[in-house]
Amino acid sequence: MNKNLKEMEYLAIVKAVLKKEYPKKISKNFSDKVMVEIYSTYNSIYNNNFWTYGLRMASVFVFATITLFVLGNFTTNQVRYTKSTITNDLSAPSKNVINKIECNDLNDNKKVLKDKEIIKCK
Amino acid sequence: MIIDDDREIIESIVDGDTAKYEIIVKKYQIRVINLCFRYTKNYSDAEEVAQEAFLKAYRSLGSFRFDSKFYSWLHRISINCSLNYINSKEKVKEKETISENTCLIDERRGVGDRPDEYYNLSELSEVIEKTFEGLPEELKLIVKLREIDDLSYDEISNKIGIPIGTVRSRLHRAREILIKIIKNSYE
Repeated sequence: MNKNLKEMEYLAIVKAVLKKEYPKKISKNFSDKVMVEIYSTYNSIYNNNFWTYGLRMASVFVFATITLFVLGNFTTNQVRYTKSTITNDLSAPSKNVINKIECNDLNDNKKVLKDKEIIKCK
Repeated sequence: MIIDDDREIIESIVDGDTAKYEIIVKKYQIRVINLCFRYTKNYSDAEEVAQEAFLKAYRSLGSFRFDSKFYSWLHRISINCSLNYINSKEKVKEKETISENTCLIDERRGVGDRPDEYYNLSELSEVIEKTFEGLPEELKLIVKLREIDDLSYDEISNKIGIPIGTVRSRLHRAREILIKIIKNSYE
């Protein structure tokens, strides 16, 4: 790594010279100063993989627990199972329908009677 | 082996490998310091502003989207830092009403005076340029296209019609020769 860094530094010098973009002199420890500053001040910005991973895992665990709890409570409170057979009395709606039809028939009959009376009068 | 790909390095840094930022600093420090020097006009301030630019770039590295070259982005940051420096300097000047003597003092407390504390690029440039001129033509062309014109390996390969492998090997040979010059001067 150190040999690579040194070579990178030398190559940068070559490149800067060929591009004619160089100052007359430059401190040899410039990059050290930058790195010291970064380690002392900003190290926590990107070097938090472990914590990020831990936080993600914790949030997944909490979410899963809450979901299971809610689903568990929902099923136990709302659904009640029974051993006996449930019989459904569906007569009421059909009776209503029949009544309505009867009413309609009555109305129709009244109309017919009215019409007949009018004809008689004529 | 020298890592050429900035993207690979930057992604490692963002993933938490802070140490890799040193590669970025070493790769661009001279050009950034030179850029800042054009604004500050003295070496110590140029290094200070460049340091600030590198710190700022590190802080915002997560937001870099690779839409442009990394150096273009760093270049912009360095210019902003230099302009901020000039503005703050102007304010200090207004307050203190100090004359040109300030620059003289700054020049004296600049980059280390001991030769082993700094690279003397004025001296080095002569040797490097001479060595570059002395390279065989096929190596010189590759170095020019890669290091001066910033072409990718693909582009060089297409431009001069040789396989990428040959581009890599020629560039490697040329770099070794040029780097050896600096090694001989400083190691």
